[in-house]
Amino acid sequence: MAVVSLLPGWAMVFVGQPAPSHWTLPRPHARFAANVHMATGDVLLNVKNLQASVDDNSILKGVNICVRRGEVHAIMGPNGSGKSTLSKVLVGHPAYEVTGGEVTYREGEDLLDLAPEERAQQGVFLAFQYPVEISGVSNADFLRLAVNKRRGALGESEYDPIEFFGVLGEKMSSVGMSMDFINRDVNSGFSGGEKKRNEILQMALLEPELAILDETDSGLDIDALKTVAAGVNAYKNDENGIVLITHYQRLLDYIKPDFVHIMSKGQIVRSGGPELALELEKDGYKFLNPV
Amino acid sequence: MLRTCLLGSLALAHAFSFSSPRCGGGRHESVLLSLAPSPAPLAPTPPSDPWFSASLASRPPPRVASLAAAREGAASLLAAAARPRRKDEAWRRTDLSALFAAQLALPSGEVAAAALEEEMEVSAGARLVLVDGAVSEELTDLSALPEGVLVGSVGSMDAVASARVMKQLETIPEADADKRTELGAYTFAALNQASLADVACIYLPPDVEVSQPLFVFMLSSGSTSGLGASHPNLVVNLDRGSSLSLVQSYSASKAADSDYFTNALTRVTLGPDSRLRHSYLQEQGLGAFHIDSVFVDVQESARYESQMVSTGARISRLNVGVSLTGSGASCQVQGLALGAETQLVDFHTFIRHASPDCQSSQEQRNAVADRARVVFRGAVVVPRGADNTTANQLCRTLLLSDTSRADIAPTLEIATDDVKCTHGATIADLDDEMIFYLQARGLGRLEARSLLLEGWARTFMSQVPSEAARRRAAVKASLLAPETGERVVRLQQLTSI
Ligand SMILES: Nc1ncnc2c1ncn2[C@@H]1O[C@H](COP(=O)(O)OP(=O)(O)OP(=O)(O)O)[C@@H](O)[C@H]1O
Ligand SMILES: [Mg+2]
Repeated sequence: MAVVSLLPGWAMVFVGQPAPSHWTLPRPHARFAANVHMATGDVLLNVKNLQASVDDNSILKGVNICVRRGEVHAIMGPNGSGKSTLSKVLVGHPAYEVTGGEVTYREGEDLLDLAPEERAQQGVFLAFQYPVEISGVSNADFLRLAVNKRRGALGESEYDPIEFFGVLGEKMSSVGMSMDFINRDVNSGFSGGEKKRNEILQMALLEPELAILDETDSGLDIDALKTVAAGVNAYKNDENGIVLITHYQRLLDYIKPDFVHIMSKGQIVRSGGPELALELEKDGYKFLNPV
Repeated sequence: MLRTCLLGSLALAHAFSFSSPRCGGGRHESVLLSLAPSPAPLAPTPPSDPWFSASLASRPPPRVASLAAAREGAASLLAAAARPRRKDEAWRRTDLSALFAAQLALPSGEVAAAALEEEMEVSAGARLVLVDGAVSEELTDLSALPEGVLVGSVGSMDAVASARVMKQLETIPEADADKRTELGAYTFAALNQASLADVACIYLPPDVEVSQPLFVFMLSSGSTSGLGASHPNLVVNLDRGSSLSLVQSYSASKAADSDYFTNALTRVTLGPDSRLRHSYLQEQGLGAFHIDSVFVDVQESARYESQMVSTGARISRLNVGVSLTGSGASCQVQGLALGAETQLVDFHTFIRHASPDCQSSQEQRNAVADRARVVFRGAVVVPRGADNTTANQLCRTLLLSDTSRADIAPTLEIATDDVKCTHGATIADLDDEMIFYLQARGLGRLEARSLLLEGWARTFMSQVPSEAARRRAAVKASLLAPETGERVVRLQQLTSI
């Protein structure tokens, strides 16, 4: 099993200087000061009273969640409660308009001020609930472009195709994907489960600081679920944070959450420890609509 | 403002009709494309057009003496023909005034070594090169072709093959075609034949399969004294049961020569049970005018498959007329138009189910950016009696900027019940969810658009047997990615609200 770890020799954020509330483009690499180490327990993502709407329909109505390095948070909740919306707003999907609240990333960076590709380059990753098929673009080319973008942002040299092939082979076997998938077009004709594995492969390759997995367990067979969970556990360490959106306790048997949140009608209505998920498994969401 | 013109069916209005008087020597019927006998009465002969007279004055001498009669026959037709106008249905969306304002001249004939460089290796042993319409023995290399396959200048053919081709030249396509539905090939075809320097011929004897793709390079050069004009003419005959992959490619003979006029004519006859894969690459210089009419006769149980790509030229017009003339004939006609800057890329196609029991499928892809314009007018005709027909047509257009324009007119004319036909047309920009997915993996919006466009072109090009050509199309497609300044401003205004 490949052990995924953060690449050595890099760290982030201003030393001795508060992060400005607005970044101006282009931002110099200089802000990544060397030798500043992040630690377990530092706040990685802080979502405060986040509100968002689509075409004037309010969907997120004041979401609060704080993720520290080394933590796994599970978000559960009925269909349509806003879980995917939250995850897409965090990665900058243009369909959603943020109408209130704030999101800070790492040491006070304004996440909402970054373009979607900058968020990705800076280590925010979303495994999509419905990954998009892109015909004409080979998975290998796509993955290499994405990885090199991330490496570029970290000040590391880009992989050439041959180097990348080696890295890719190792990561693919770690998520149980056959090498046949590298020459196929991105997600094109992939089964539901294959698409989810491809998302986890991307997570393993991109080594994000914050990984949001939106129902990555849905559509996976039992063996695939174990493989994917093993991939996530291999990625998990003291310095990164994971947000798991799921409907089932099943996934949480393999990836132990530190916190469980329940989302309903655009808000986090309850938060607790792992026992909350077990409670839900037993009683469902009845408590949300008391008679 | 998006200026999109999506016509559900062809507008059938027409302004006037002119008829083409027949030349004494040859037969001049509209064999390939007339829908019905022309109802037009004989009009008085219009006055001779000064542009045609001037064009004829600058035509090259024939390289092959036996072409003199064909040239003069066509020239006499031209003396009485009028140039295409916007009033003609076939030319309504194609403004040729810049061409008619130019003084045609003899092209220089200069060829830069770089012109064929990228395809030198892939075409080794199966390469026919024409420079300004005349076969260049020096650049041609046909050493790998099997015995019995005839490829070259009509002047190098044996008596039988040469007679076959000369006979085909006697018929100018669309001589008597219905003005409302014709492709608009006749006048430029007559100009082509009146100006023939040479005729390139390909003949496959029965049951011969050529495994290696055959490349035909049509190089055009410019002129310092006017618009260099050349008139390449290609005749392809596949005999019963034979099969070929043909790459027909048009480009500048040297990069510095971007302005010229290529006026081509291509005839393809596919005998029973034969099969042609036809890659057509129009990659002319960006100042060039390119007009070509490709007529294909697909006989019993024969199959025609084409990938026709138009990426070059300032103004290009490709007419494609496919007739399924024998039972079991089938075709798959695929077109790709990529327009940037101020290019006009025009495809007019016509697929005629002249026989029952035939199948056609057509897919047109257009991508247009900047201030460019694409025109697609595609007719599929199933006349009475053409029972048991399957015909599918699809036209997909990517309109990539607010100042680009697409004029799309797909039509299906069905006069029989026993058919399975579908057709559709879509016009859209690139898919936002795809762009976002790529952005969410760290690619900028422009990079995401480039990658999607490259992929879009590459899937189309997958059957074209030249990696260099596939790459060039992908590169051209990626150049269409930038959004116009105007659009960016508008998006910015939206997000700041
Ligand atoms: N782009 C959009 N346009 C219109 N409505 C949207 C859009 N995105 C989300 N919604 C609406 O917002 C609500 C929340 O949707 P969301 O996808 O976030 O739910 P979810 O909690 O992820 O549900 P599920 O468990 O079914 O995945 C739904 O009512 C949905 O229809
Ligand atoms: Mg969801």
